[in-house]
Amino acid sequence: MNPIKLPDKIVVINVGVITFLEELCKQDVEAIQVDWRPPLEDSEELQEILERLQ
Amino acid sequence: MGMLMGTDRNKEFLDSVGFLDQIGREATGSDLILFVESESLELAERTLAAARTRLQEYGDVSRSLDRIYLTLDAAVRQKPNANIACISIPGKFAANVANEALDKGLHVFLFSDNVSVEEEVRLKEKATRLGLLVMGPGCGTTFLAGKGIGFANCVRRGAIGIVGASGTGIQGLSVHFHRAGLGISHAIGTGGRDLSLDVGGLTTSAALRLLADDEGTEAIVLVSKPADPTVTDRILREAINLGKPIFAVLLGDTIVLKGELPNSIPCFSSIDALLPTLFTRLGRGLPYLAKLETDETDTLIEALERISRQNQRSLIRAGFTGGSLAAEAFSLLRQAGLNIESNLHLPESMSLQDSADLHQVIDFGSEEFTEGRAHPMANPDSRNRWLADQASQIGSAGILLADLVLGYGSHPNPAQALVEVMRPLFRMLKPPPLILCSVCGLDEDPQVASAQTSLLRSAGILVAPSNAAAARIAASCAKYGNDSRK
Repeated sequence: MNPIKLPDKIVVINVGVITFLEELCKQDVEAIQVDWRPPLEDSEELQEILERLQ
Repeated sequence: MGMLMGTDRNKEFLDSVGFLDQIGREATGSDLILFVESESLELAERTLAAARTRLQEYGDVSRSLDRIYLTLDAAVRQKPNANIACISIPGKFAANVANEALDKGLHVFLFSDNVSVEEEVRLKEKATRLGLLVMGPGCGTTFLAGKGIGFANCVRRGAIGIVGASGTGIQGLSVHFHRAGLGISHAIGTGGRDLSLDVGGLTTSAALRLLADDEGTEAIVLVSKPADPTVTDRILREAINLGKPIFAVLLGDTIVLKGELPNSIPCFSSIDALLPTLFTRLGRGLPYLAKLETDETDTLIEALERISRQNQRSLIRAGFTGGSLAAEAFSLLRQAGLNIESNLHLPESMSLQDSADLHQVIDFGSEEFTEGRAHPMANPDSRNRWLADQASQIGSAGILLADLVLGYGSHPNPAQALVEVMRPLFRMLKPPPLILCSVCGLDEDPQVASAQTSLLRSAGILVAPSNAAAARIAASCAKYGNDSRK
């Protein structure tokens, strides 16, 4: 299936490098930022602590 | 003084040069490590304090934005009219977030690299089912509805649509179109692997159909680094039936030269080789071609005059921040019969051995240079230092070739950054280094292309009117230098 058409206007959710949000705002693009953080399960140290608690 | 994200690779590097202490060892991939080498402890502490203040100011700016959300879900609830997710988080997490964005009905601009090809295929197949686009992974540039996402120049809107598996390929094309008085309708980045056998051109195919259906698009240009020939062939054969003029630029691709692609679609191996055919077809932009040619001739004459005075240039050392510009230069140098070492992994490139008598083309935007670091278009330090090292090592035998890519997302003053690194060499080396640059940018860009060009020229750096022109001039200089030494 094809998208109906290309957008007439873009509204962006930026996840990651904040410079991209700033550059979009400079172009008057409606944009917001997600303050993304690595998931906790990626922290081996925290995982070990949780396992010890269980 | 330097800053690096606390990834394992960066920590290994810092350890190897003696900068990693216990605090640095405990850093994680989401931490920033500051390091400084100084003549005194006092100066080091002052430097670090200044850096911390600057970072604090940056953090304050970020926090003052009233549009920061903790999850994609919360952001979509706040902005239900959102239609694009721009994702630039570390590759190993990026596919999950992209998948979530598709579930929420968003097109995905995926800047992150280090996403596996299996994940890429899953995302693109899902997007196809949902009627959405996945632009990436490793997508540098997209223009939709006149706005640039990622690295993008201030190009006017117009009638040419671009589909690009190549970020600086899109930028290079759109800059030429703008300078020639034309503009682009949309430019859809696909990610560099889209035309591989594994991915099969899923995004390219969807993007071509979208542009074919777009009323504002009069002609379509497909641009890519070397791709799988069977996929490229299939995509182009499908494109013949889309009902609009289609042109292909396959940078650095030898199959173009062999003429094995469908002959009803004009194919070119460099950006500016396309322009005469496209502009003739559109009946616009032709005066610009004459100017390009004159500027190239003038730069060539100036370069050869310098060489004839010094009479000993023959070895090209080319360092690029844009991968597609590197591939384009590689292709043109090969066509000139030069043997080249490169990290581009092109069919005719030799692996990097630092041979004293071979030319080199290095793409500083490739994954081995960018993991955990800013892209060289945003921070060209590593490329600039490499150029300076090359100038020092091979001295008057060297012809240095470099790109400056302007626009949103790029370094605020790349000419100044290059000039600062090269200026001491212009003072020390006799004869001075021969450096050829091209500036991919516009006066409308935040860095102002004409100001960047003036800055380079005032420092003694030659500026060619395009990347392809710079490569051709470098090849001519190498041949001239070689012949005159015989």
